[in-house]
Amino acid sequence: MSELLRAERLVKEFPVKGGVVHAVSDVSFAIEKGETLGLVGESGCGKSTLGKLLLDLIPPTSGKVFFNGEDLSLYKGEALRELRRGMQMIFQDPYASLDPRLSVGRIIAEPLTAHRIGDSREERAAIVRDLMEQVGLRPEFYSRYPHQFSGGQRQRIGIARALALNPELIICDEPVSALDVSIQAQILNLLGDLQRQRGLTYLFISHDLNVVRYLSDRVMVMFLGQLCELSDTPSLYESPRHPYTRFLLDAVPQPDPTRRDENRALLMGEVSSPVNPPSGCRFRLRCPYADARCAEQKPELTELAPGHFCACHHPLG
Amino acid sequence: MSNILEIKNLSVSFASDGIKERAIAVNGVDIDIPQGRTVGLVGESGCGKSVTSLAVMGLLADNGRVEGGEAMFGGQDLLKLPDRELRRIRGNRISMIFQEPMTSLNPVITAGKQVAEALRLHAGLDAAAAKARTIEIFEKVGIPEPERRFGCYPHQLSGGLRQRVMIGMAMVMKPDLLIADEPTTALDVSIEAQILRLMRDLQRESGTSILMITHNLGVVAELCDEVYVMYAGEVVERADVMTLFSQCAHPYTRGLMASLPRMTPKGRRLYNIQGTVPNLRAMPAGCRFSPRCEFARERCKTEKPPLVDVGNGHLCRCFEPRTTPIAWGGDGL
Repeated sequence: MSELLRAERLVKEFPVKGGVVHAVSDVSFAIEKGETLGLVGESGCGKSTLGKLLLDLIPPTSGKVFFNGEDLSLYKGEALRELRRGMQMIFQDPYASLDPRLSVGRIIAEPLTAHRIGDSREERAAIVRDLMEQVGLRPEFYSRYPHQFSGGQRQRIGIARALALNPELIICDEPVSALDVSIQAQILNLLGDLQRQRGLTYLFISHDLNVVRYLSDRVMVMFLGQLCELSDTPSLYESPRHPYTRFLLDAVPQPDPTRRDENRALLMGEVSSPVNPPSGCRFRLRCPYADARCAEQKPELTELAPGHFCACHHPLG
Repeated sequence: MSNILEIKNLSVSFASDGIKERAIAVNGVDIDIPQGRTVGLVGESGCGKSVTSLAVMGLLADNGRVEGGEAMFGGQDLLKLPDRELRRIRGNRISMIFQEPMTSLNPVITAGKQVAEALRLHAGLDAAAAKARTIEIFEKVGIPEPERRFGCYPHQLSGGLRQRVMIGMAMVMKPDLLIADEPTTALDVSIEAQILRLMRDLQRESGTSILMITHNLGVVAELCDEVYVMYAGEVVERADVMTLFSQCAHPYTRGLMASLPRMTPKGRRLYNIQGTVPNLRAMPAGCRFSPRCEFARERCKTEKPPLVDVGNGHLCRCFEPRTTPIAWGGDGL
């Protein structure tokens, strides 16, 4: 496998009244061609900000993103747009990202027009109809407007638009979180089919650990702007090494009443704020294993087993 | 075991602008909530699960109307009580928590004062004692820095903290029944797990019965004793939680279960329930699920199946109930 995207020491900080939001702090990782990398964490952990940094939708405070070996920070204007054609995004709420005044056909054609793909309006319309079919939308709906579609269909529109420029990488930011279970299954199946047909690479951002497990080859876990753990999926779910990952996995209510455990350890306290986070390990205030070292020294992401990385001074066995 | 609430043959309709015919959102629903137990009410958006609880509590929107049925609670029909008496029951013997607790808290009174006020009314405590007890309760429901939080207004608290205040309030009231409508849907998983545990603690301490309305089958498996599944305004299945997750009989329930990625290996397709939920004003004749059902026969399209007992109080609304255990992992129904 070869590397498609690499993040190097990415940092994003936002100044706010009374401090600085440390949204993404020194995050490095790579995405391999053709894989699905899952990204999980709770609200405020920086997962959506990280997605936007990778696409250069917002500039990093420091650090670099390489796409196909090219340093995005060296590109500007038209050249940057050309490079970014290979990376697209789909969002949680497709409605908020679809212009309600445009027909579905025009929404999907927009990226084609912007990049001057297709010699004529007719040719672009043919490409759009083909895309609609690929995502399971009836091409007859070409002239309809977003409000005439259900949530699941709108997500299909968002996916068709993301596919229009034939990208290599799609960053999926909570794409099924707003959908009912049966519709969620349809969209997950579609994402899987498209990946197989087109050799797509996904970064799949979600708070739903069951969905991430199903879709991902590897998974990374973030807490308050930092990477805690990065591993192949089976090893992360079956033998997590970071205490935060363990708590997170235990907290997910499983659809299996035989596994109900009323006495299991819960992660107590509130989701911490990324404004002025604690020194050293950011998880230490909620971690039962924390000691003085965790306050003084930030744990680095270390390879504890082949392909299994963890940033903790007291990794689980 | 006696029931704290018995909903019988409840029907609710809604009016829409410009459309003469009212839409039937809930159609002949029966639900029993046994004393001290947790009953789950599950289904997808628009199935009528929230409308059912709002109708029982007299909280339907202006365009909603109860068309028939009863909701027996302590010998009284809640649907026939005058507003004033219903309000008194809502404040005392029945507590409610919603997905967004902001809507149930008074925005201009501090969180602490709202709980303390309830204590003064219910336990007859004086102001100082009520404040001290409120801080104890805040601590118990896991609110950090309870003294400082006492003086916070609801908007100054996170969603998780607001939900804790609501549960703290319920602990003060020791209600006979807690109706919880998607109480953890907006929360992070670590907070959700804490809130579910608090609800269980409340039940243990006060013997409170719980009606848990949720779309999340994980939450159902975690908390509920019995489960009702709704589809298109009707109950399609009722079973104890173990039976539901091992051998639910209705094709819709089985489809929901099979749609869940539960240890499903990557690359294997999840089950798809075909099509979409029917329009409330254009319900199919016969079984409402039949247009989407892979087992539907001619009879299902013309004749409406009754809710029948398929064994030990396991109810199913289907002419062809499934009898095999569920095969998890996307291999169909």
